[in-house]
Amino acid sequence: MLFNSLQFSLFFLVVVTAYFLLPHRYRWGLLLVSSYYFYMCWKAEYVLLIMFSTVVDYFAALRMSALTDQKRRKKYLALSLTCNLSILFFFKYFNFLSQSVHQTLQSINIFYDTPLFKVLLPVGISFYTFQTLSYTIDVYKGRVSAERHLGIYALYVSFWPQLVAGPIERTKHLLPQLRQRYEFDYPRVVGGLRLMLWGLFKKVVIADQLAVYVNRVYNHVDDYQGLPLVVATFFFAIQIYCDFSGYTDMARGAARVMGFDLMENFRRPYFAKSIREFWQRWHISLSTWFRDYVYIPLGGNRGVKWRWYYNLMITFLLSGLWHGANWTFVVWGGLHGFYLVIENMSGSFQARIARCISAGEQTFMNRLTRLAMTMTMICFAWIFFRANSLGDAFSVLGNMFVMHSSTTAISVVGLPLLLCDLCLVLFLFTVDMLERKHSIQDVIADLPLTLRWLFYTILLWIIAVAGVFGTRQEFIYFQF
Amino acid sequence: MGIQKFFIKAVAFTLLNIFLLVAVLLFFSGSNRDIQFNIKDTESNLLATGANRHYDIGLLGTSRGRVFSRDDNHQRVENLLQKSLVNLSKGGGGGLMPAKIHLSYFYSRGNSVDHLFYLVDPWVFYSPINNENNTFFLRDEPFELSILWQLITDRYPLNTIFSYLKMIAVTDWQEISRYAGPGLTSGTLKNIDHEKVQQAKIYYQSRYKKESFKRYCQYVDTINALAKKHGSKITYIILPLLIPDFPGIEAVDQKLREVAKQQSHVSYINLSTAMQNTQYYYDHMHFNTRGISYFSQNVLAPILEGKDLSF
Repeated sequence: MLFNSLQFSLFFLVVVTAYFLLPHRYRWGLLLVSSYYFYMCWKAEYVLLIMFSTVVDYFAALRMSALTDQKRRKKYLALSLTCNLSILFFFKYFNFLSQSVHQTLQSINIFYDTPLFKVLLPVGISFYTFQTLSYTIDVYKGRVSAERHLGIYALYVSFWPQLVAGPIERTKHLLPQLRQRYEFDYPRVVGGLRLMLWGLFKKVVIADQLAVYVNRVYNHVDDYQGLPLVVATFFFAIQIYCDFSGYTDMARGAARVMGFDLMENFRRPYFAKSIREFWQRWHISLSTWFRDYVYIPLGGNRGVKWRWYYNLMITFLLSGLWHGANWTFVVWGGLHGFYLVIENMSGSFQARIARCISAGEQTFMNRLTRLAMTMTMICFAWIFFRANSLGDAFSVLGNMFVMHSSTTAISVVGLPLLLCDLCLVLFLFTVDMLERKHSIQDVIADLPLTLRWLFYTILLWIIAVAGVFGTRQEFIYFQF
Repeated sequence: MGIQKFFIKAVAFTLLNIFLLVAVLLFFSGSNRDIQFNIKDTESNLLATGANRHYDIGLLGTSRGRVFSRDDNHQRVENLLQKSLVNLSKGGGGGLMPAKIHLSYFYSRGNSVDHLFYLVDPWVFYSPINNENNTFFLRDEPFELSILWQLITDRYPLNTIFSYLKMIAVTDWQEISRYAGPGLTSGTLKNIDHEKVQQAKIYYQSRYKKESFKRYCQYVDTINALAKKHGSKITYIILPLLIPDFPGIEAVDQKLREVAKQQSHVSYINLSTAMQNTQYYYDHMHFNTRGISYFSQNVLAPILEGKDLSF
């Protein structure tokens, strides 16, 4: 079930109405059933995978909290990790590994057909697996105590607003909220709905409109040279931001309506002045997950420098692989790891270059230079993320800087649509810039009723007229 | 208290938007009726057929019917037959449901036609993408409330309805309704690529939803009723196919045969195995100019004159 579908609107209306009508003690049941229904709308039988993970982790955590012997506790942690990661590996990475082995063997003239499984990747598997893993690891480390109520724990794993594309919640933050009693709170409900509306706008208007340009170029990379490739890459940067942050806003908004607070996932990421800062602003729930459960356990920035850089590279390569079973994602992750290593080695070379260009650290020119350089590096990495294969990515890179190309940026979709795309990008950047000082949500909430309603109405109408609806436009992050 | 306040505001906001919606739709409905394009310059039906006109013959169908008006073929067919022609076929796979909408709109504007030819592709009896899921058949048609109403009553999905609503924002009708591949009908298919033919067969079949057959058949009855009400004869012709044994063709044949037997203003001819020479096509599906001329002279003309076909 897509957040941008009529089916979801009805689902949301029914669940939220029932939620506020039901006595508190039955609400977890309603949310659990609705979460499983939400997931089953996509592929019913795959709900068994969630149930399996839930039951294994529930019992593993209970056993861990009951035991004091570290060795035996470790066994239960290993059981949880093995079960969850095996499922993830089988559905997401087995075919990738098999194909990679096949290609490697072929390159040395060994012809052996490695096995392939015809299975559909369960939607959101990477998200809920990471969420449930963080729970068992936290219980093992003694950071949280094991949840005794199986229903509440199952709801923690499958809570529908964030089930298929996050944010990846932490036990400490979400689990206690699931026991809380929330009354109907007018400002909170309206705030949640407002966030959903804004998220929907970002997804169906901005992201899906830009997708037309991006798909046209990236699905036929050999047909384009020069500026169209540059524009398509820049548009993809905006598309993926609006697609994913739009989904997150809708998820957070839907949860907020019912009283739950989901963590922030994006903080104006393209206003980052370094790659390090970018990762503090982009997909925060995932980057903090990797920080806490991979980077720090590997040793973080302690010890000698080469070890620190090694830890960084491993973390980002894994992060790339998390996004998808394709070498393009691994290269994308590796590039970000490399950027961070270089940044740490040179003390942010963006800052050094910016210092050379402008007079002072705090000047507009200095900030703009750092911002532009960071954005360029991010866009460069997005080429690998978006390209259908490594070959396509290199083709984009090879043809991107051709000066006299036969195709122009306008020829891809025509001038009116290109102008419309540019206006949308400008609008997004303006909103993000304004959000530096005040949340747009708060600004709108403080407007007089007439202006507020006018704003909602205009937004709704733009969504209806310019929005792209239908299953063609799934959320990009669903595939992860 | 909070719930009450929310409920009152939500209802007021919804009513306000419904009111606005109605006002906007009323404003835009029919606002482009004064635009009149020559049919060879447009793929749009509404912008070419006009109002209160009488035509001798009309065509219904998919792009395989539309080719009769692309390039200079419309004029050619009119000259060959010495009849005025209205082409309500729709490129992009317009099936039975879209055909019903176009035909009923055509009549609602006070137009009339003596003889309708429905150029049938068997897949339109099975594929939702040719019927309710077809967003293409209205993507170049101006907004009309009556069409919106038909979309709602025929239970088209929201996606199709939304894509039609977007037509209110179109300003350049010439550009949006222009055919993207002019000159195609002057080409000739060199030989039949059997692999392509097989692929096409699989492709069409993969889009079939066989349980919808009965539902789509009801639209044949609706179209026939519409034609009868407005004094038009209608002849269903299964167009020649270079794809042998097309999946599902028997059931379509049987249905149309039954309908033709039961209703006096309806006739039916199955030409699926006729015209197998590649010289009549520019690809594996569509007639070229030669095919259109041949079909007009050897199929349409004899039918209009009440003669037997020479196939």
